[in-house]
Amino acid sequence: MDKIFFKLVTPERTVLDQELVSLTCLTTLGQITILPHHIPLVATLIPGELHAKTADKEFYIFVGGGFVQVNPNSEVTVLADSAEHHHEINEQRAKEAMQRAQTALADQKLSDEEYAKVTAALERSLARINVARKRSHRKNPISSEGVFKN
Amino acid sequence: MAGIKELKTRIKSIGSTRKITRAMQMVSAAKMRKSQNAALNSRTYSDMAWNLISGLAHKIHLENPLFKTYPDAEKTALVIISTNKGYVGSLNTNLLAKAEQTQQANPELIAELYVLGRKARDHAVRFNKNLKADFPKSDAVISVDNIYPLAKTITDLYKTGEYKFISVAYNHFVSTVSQKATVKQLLPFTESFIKDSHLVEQQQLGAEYLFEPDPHIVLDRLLPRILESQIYQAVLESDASEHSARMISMKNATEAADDLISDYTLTYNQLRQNKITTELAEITAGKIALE
Repeated sequence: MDKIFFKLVTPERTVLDQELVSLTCLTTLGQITILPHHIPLVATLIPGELHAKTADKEFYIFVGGGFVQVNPNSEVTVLADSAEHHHEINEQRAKEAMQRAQTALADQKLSDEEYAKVTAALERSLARINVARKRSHRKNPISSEGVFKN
Repeated sequence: MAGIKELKTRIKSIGSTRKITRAMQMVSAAKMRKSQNAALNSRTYSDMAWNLISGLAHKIHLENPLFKTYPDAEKTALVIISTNKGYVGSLNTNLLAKAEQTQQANPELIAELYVLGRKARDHAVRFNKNLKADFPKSDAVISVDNIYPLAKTITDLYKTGEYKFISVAYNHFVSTVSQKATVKQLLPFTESFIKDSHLVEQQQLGAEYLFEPDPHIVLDRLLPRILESQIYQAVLESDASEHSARMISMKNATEAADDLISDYTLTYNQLRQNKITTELAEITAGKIALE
C-alpha cells in the first residue's frame, strides 16, 4: 500500500516520525488532507489540530503554527513552532494563558505589534484547549469530519 | 616523624576533594547526555528549514530586509554565548580568543558585544569592551521561546541598517572530547549558501513546489524561524559543549586525585614502616644494652 513518509519536527524535538495513510492539517487557506502522491507543496499552518492516520492508529497533535512541506515521492514534513500530542497538553496552563491574553486584550493601550502578539497567543491557547477537550473524553477517536465543528 | 601526620591529613583532604569532583563528574555526565540529545534533535529542524528555503530560492527573487546588505555600515555586532560557571577547561578562553580574533579581522568596524552567559560578560566588563546587552543564560535545557527576545533584538538591530553583519560566537559540539570555538554569521542571510544547497536539491528532486498562500508570505514567516533556530542551535551546542567539557575536566581531576592518593599512600606506608623498623631496632638495642 502507498504510504506517506511523515516527520513532524519542532526546534526542540522530533514529535512524530511515522509512515502514514493520510494527514489532515489547518493551513492559512483552510483545512487540507494530504494523501500519498500529493503534488509538491509548501503551505503555512495556523494553530490548530493536526490529524495523522496510520493503517491502525490515529494521532491528534496540537500544532502552534508552522509549515508543511510535501516533497515528491510522498515525503511530508511539518516544521512546527510548537507541537504537543493531545494527551501532553496541560489544559490548566492553556486556560491560564488564554485568560492572560484576554486581560491583555481588554487593556486598550496596546500597540499594533503587541496586539498582534496577544491575539496570536490567544488563538494558540484556544486551539490548544479545543484539541485537549475534544480528545480527552473519547476512547475511540472520531473521524476527521467531526473535528472542527465548534 | 612530622611528615607522617601531615601526609595522613593530606591523603584525607585529597580524598574528600575527589569525592566532590567525582560527584560533579556524574552530574555533568547526566546533563551532558540531556544537552547532547537536545542539540542533535534541534539539528533536524534547522536542516529541514534550510531545505525549505532552498526550495523557495529558485521560485522567487529573495527579497526581505534580512537579505539586504549594508556595505557602508560602520558597525558589527557579535553575540557571544559562554558558560555561566567555570570548571570547563579552556572552553571559555578559546571562545573569547576566537571572538577577539574576529574583531581584529575588521579593525575599521566598531564592534558591539551582546553576551549570553556570565563568563563572557565578566570578560567584556574587565577589558572594557563595547558591551551593549547582557542576556541571562539559564542552566537548564531551554525551550525555543527563551530565544525570542534575543532573536528580536538582533533582527531589529539589523533592520536599522547600521550594521554590516551580525555574527554569533559559540562552542560547537563536535564530540564529548572535542569542542570547537566557532564564529558564524547570522545576518545578512548569505544567498550563496542557499543557492548551493538549492542546486543539490534540484538535482535530487527536480520538482516544482506549489506555495500556499504565496511564496513571499512563506518566506517572510520562514526567515525569522530560521534565525531563531540558528541561535537556539548555537545555545544548545554551547550547552552540550559546556557539560561535556566539564565532565571531562572533572574526570581528569578525579583521576589526578586517584594518582595523588596512591602516591601519597605509598610514601606514607614507607615512612610508617621505617618508623616501625627504627623503633624495633631501638628496643632491641636497649634490650641488648641491659643484658
